[in-house]
Amino acid sequence: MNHGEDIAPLFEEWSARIQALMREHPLQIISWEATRRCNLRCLHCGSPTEEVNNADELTTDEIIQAFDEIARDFDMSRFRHINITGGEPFVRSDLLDVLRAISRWPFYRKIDIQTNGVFISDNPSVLKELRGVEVTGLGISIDGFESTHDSLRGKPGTWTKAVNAARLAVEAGYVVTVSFVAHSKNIRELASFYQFIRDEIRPRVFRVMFIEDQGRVQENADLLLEPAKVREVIDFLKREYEHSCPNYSDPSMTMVELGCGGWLGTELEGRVRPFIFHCIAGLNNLGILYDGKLGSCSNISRDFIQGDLRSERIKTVWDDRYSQFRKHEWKLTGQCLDCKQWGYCHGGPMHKRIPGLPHSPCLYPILQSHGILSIENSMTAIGGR
Amino acid sequence: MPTKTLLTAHVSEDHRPSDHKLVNGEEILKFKKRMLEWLNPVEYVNNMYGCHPDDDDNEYFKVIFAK
Repeated sequence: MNHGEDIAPLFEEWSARIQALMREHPLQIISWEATRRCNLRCLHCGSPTEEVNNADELTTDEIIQAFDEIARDFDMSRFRHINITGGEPFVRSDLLDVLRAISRWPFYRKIDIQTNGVFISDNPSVLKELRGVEVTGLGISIDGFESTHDSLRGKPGTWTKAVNAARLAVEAGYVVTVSFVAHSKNIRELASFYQFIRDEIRPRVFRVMFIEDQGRVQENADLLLEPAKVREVIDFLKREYEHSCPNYSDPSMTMVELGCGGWLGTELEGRVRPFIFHCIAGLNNLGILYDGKLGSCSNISRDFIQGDLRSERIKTVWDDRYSQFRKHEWKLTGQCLDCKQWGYCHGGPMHKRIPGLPHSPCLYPILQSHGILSIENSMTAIGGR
Repeated sequence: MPTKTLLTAHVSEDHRPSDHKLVNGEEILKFKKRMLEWLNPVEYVNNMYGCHPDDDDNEYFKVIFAK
């Protein structure tokens, strides 16, 4: 299936729309890192609580005022979605109060919460309350079968609670994503665990993410994946996607996807996950971090913080800064210099940018060197810089 | 709904990673073209809002993967 000539103009048009998005940067998503506190202590956590001063956490009034300020200052006509992350968001005892307060705005209507599921399993009635404050989606982290999942979290019983939470959320009608962080200790059970989730839980999305060398992983480097294992994950996702994607229009089906691992190349994009990837940080995605600092996704280095809502207008920061997110030439170093995919990926996702390193780890050369790009894609000679 | 039940049952039986072979090449290309043509180029990037219908009742996945 060499479709390079056929599809190349579409990639050029897609890339032009990405460029327009960089210029226009319409606010469409708010990622709120509700807290860095957590009721678990996972070995592979990328946002560990010990890295920050939790006393700086935004108060109830401060975060409500921030959402109010955004509602008043921004053009919200293209706004779509709030994504709440942590830490563990449900550790905030005022989470429902915040959501109740901001739900008076008509555009704060689609809210997703990323959670470890413990609170939901212990307090299943919260699912009804969440529905009342415009929460429509729940992302639940489950990293394999029971012994694997629990050993990473250092707490027996967490797997049972996570699975129970996912099941309850699906039954309650939420759009549920089960997130699986692929690492060296769970890679062997990826396929069988996916089958279990698909058949027993039936979430809308089974999302696989690669473990990243940040947070506590820096103390647990044996969890990192060898390139050959990265290829195994991509192979698995490609196989599953190709087989089942004709049924993805049915909302009762479980879709597989690779999360923000990076650009896979014009050949593989759209064949491993149900979208074409581009990092959205700072393009349409504003991040409010736990302490009111303004950035984008919470797993991006705090070296890229753009402002502080405690002392600045959010709209001013969004409009006048974020050049590191919207102008990518500074990333054009190292392996990117000679890569013909640059015109599409623009240096890859921001969370992979580690200060002090000349370039970020990239999936594309790994996939090339390990043979997964079995079809030499003529796009590489057509597109790009 | 009967339609969903039938479809789900069919896929569950037929969905075995071990004996997979690519059978949907043309459809995959069709879907990929639709992704590239979607007006908002990042409509669904690691975010779940694509799973929810927009104000005009368009749901990304229903459109991209329509038969």
